[in-house]
Amino acid sequence: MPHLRIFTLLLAAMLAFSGCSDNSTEPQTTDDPTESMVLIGEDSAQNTRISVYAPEQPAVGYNRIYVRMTNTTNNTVVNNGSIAITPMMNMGQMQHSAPFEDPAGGAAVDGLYPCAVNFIMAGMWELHVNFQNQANNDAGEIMLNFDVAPSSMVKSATGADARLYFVTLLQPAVPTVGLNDFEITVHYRENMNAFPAITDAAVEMTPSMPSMGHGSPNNVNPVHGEMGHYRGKVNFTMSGDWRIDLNLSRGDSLLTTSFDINVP
Amino acid sequence: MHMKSLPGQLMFLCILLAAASNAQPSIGGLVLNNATLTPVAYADVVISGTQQGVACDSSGAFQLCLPPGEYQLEISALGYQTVRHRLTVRQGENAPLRILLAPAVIALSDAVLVYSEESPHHIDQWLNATDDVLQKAEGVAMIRRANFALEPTLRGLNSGQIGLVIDGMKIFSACVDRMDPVTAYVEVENLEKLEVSRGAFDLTKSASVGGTINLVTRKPDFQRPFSLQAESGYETVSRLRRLRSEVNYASANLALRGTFSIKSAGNYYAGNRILVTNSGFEKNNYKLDAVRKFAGNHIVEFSFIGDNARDIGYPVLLMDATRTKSQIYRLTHRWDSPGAGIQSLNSTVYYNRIDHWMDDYQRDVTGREVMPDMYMPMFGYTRTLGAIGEITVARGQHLLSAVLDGYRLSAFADMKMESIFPDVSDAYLLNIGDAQVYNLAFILDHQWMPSARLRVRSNLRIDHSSRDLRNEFGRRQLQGFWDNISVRQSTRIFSAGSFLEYRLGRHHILQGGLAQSRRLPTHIESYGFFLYNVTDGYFYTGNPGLAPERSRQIEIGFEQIDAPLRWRVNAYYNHIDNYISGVLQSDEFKTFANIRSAVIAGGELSATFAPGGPLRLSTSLAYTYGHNREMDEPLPLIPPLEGGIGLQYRAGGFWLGLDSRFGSRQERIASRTTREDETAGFFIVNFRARLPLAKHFEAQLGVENFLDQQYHEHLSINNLPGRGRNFYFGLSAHLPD
Ligand SMILES: [Cu+2]
Ligand SMILES: [Cu+2]
Repeated sequence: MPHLRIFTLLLAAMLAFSGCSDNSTEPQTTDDPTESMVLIGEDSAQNTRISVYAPEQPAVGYNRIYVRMTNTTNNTVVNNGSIAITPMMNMGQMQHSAPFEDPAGGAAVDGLYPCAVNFIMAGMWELHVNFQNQANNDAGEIMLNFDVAPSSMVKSATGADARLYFVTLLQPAVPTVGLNDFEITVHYRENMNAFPAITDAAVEMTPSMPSMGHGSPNNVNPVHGEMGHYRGKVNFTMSGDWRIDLNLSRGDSLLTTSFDINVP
Repeated sequence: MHMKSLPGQLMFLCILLAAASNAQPSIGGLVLNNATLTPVAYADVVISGTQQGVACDSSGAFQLCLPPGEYQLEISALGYQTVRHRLTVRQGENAPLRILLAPAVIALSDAVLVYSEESPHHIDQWLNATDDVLQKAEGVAMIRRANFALEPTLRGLNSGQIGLVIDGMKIFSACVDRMDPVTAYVEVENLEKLEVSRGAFDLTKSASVGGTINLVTRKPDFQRPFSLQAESGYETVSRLRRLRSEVNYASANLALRGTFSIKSAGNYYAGNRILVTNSGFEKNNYKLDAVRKFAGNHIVEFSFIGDNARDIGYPVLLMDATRTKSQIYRLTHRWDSPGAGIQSLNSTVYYNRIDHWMDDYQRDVTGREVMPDMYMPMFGYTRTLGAIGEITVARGQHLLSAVLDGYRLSAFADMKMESIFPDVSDAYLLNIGDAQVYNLAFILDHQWMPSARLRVRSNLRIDHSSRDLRNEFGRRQLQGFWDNISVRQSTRIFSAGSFLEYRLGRHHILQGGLAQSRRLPTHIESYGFFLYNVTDGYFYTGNPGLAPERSRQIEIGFEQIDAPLRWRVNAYYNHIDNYISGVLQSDEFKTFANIRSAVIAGGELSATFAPGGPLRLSTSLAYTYGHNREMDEPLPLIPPLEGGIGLQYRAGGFWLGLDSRFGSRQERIASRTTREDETAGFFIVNFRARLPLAKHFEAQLGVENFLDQQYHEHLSINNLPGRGRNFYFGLSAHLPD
C-alpha cells in the first residue's frame, strides 16, 4: 500500500506545519514595550525616576507620550501612581502651552502612563511632569527639554467667533490607496495655557485631487468620539497628491481648513 | 448483381443513354445513414450544376449512366445533410459508391462561409477585411471606435453578453477601453467561416445571453500539395497599403499553411472628403498551422496566430493605442470514430497572451474636459490558458455531445498620470489589479430526431466560476468602494435551451426555441477601476458583488431551403433580469450594478435567389428593439432597422458584385443614461470586381461608398463618421495555376 504510506507522510507533514504556525503566532508577553520606543528624556526627584518615551521623535502634531515611574530605592516600576503633564514653549517674552491629554483613568498600562501632546509649533519645548508616587509617597515635578520637529499635521485657523482653532490630523498617518481611517482633533485657544477640545462640531470632509479636479466617493464624515477626537473614513482612489478639505460648523459655519496628503 | 436492385425506369434510362452514346459506363451506389449504417430510402442523386439525376429506391440503391469524365454528385434526402461527392467515371467497370449521409443537425449557428471548397464565392477574394464579413452576418452590428478593429454586437448585445471566440478559444481584450476586440486577430485570408449563433440556444461555446460568434480559421489544405499566393493592394480612402501572402504544403499525412500580412494606413476621409485626423494605423499578422494525420483516424493540429499593431489612432477616444502584441497558441487532437458508438473525440489546449499599450502623448491635454493637464499612459494584458474536451456519441435517433470547457484568465491594467506641471507629483492607479478568473463549464448538447420531420436540439450548461483580485493595491482601491463586499467571489450558473425544427416538406422548416440562460459578469464589470466611458462621460468602478444576468428568451422562425429561392424569417424576444448597467454612485463616478430588467426583441429576414446561372441575389434585414425597464428608456447602442442587398455575377474567371448597406434613422436613444443622440439613416453602395489578367495573375478592384455619403452609424462612438468613397485595387499572383 504505497499510496497509504505517502498519504500518511503527507498528513504528518501537514500536521507538523500547522503546529509550527501555531507556535509562531503566539503573542510574546515578555517584551518591554519601551524597547521599540524613543526615550525623550528622564529625570529623578526624591526617590522617583520619571522616564518619558514616545513611539517616535516628537514632531508637530499629535504625539503619544508614555511616562514610566520607577522607585529608585528598589528599582521597581510604580503602576498605581498618578501623572499630570504640561507642555510649555518659551518664546522669549511670552510662553504658551499646547493641547494635551493626561492618562485616561490615571492608571498605568504595562507600567506606562499613556499621555498625548498636540505640539502646535516646531522648536524647543518643555514638558513638565507632575507625579505622585503612591509606593513611597513621593510627590513632585520634573521638567524635560526637547526639540519638536516641524510638520504640516496641525492647521490653525481663526474661527467665525474670532477665536484661534487648532485642527490636528492623526489618521491616515501612512496613507494608502483605498479606504483609510480618518481622524482629527479639534481644539481652541482659550488663553496661552489652556487649549480645550471642541466636542460638538459637525465636520464635513471632502477629499480631492486638485491637479485632476476630481474627488472620490464613499467617504465618511468624521464624527466626535471623545476628547476632541473625530473619526471617519477617507477613500483615495489612486496614488498621487490629494487634498482634504474640512468644513467645521457648530450650528453656524465655524472654519475651513485643508490638509495636503501624498498617497504613495 | 447490380441489375437486381436497379429500378425499372433507371434501367430504361441507361439503355436509352447507352444506345445514344455507345455504351456509357454505369455507376452504382448505396446511400446509408452514417451513424446506423442503415439504408436511406429515396435519396436524390443529382449531378452538380445540372438538372440531371436519379432517385434511390427504398433500399437506398441508385444507378447512374455517365460518359467518362469528372463529376460532382449532390446527394440529398429529407432529414439528412446534403453531401457532395467527387468522382471520376472511367470506361468499363466502375467500383460501386458508398455514400454516407449524416442526419441533418439543427444548425443553431449560421455560417457565413468565407472560404470553402464547395462555395464558389470565396469572400476573402473580394472583401478586404474580417469586419466586412462580420457586417454581412445577420443580427451583427459593429461598434466603431476608429478605422480599425470594429467590435461586433449581436442582436443589440455586446461585450460580455455575447461570446466572441476564435476556433472556440476564449481570448480576452487587454484594453480596458475595448480598443482590441478579438476579431482583430483573424485576418480575412485566415477566416474560413464565421459561425454566428444568435440567442442562447447553442450554449456549447459560451454562457451568454445573446449568442456566440466563432471565428473559424482556415487550416492547411491536404488537397493542395503546394501552393503559393501573394497579393498587394491599395485603398485610396486612407492611403492603405497592404501585402499578404499564403503558402500551403501537403503530403499524404502532413499539411502546413502559413500566412503573413502587413497593412499600413494613414488618416481616412469621411464622406465629402472630410479628413479624420489621427486615424491611421500599422498592423502585421501571421498565422502558422500544421496538421498531421496518424493511423486510426487521429489528427493533431497546431496553430499559432501572431498579431502586432502600432500607432492606431482613436479620433473619438481620449488616447491612442501605441502598440499591441498578441500571441495565440492552440493544439488540438481529433479522433474520428474511435469505436464504441463514439462519433468523435476532440480535445484542445490553448494559451494566449495579449498586451496593449496606449497613451495620449500625441494629444493636447491642456484644459481638456476629462483629466485636464495630465498625460495618462496605460498598459494592460490578459493571459488565458484553457482546455476543451468534446465527445460526440450517436445512438439511434440521438446525437449527444458532452463538452468540458475550462479556462483561467489573468488580467492586469494600470495607468500613470503625469501632470504637465513639474511641481505636481505623478499619480498612479490600477485599472485591473491582477484579476484572476477560473471558469469550468460542462455542457450537454443533445439532438433527438424522433422522425424525419421533427428534430429537437437541447443544450444544458453548468458554469462554475471563481474569481479574485490578487494585487493588494488593487484590492484596497476597490475596497474603497465596496467596503463590505469580498473581492473574492465564487458562483455557479445554470443555462438551458431547447430548439425545435419541424419540416413541413422538403423545402420548408418551422422553427421554435425557448431558453433560459445566465451570464457571469466580465472581469472588468467585477474588478475594473477608474474606467472612463466616453459614451456617458463617467468613470466606472467594477462591482465584485454583481449577480449574473439572467435571460429568458423565445424565438420562432420559418425557412425555405434547397430551392433556388432560399429565405428565412425569424422573430425573438429576450427578457434580461439583473441586467448589468452603469448606475450613478457620486457626481463623477458610476458603478456597474444589476438593474431590474431590460428587454430586447426583434427579427431578421434574409433571402438568397440563386437560379443556377451566373447571377445570385441576396438580401437581409434586421430590426432590434431594446428597452431599459428600470430607467424606462431605450437601451443604448441598439442598431436601427438595418439591411443589405447584394447582387453577384460570375462568369468564367470574372466576378462582379454590387452591394449596398443601409440603416434607417434611430430615434430610440438612451438619453438618460448616456450621451448618445439620434442618428440619421444611411445608404451605402459598393461595387466590387475580380478578374483574371493572365496565367497566375488576378486583379481585384472596387469602390466602396460609391456615392461618397457623409454618414455615421448609430453604433459609431461619439458619431465617428464612416469612411467616404474608397477606390481599392489589388494584384494577386498564385502558383501553381
Ligand atoms: Cu486622479
Ligand atoms: Cu486601449
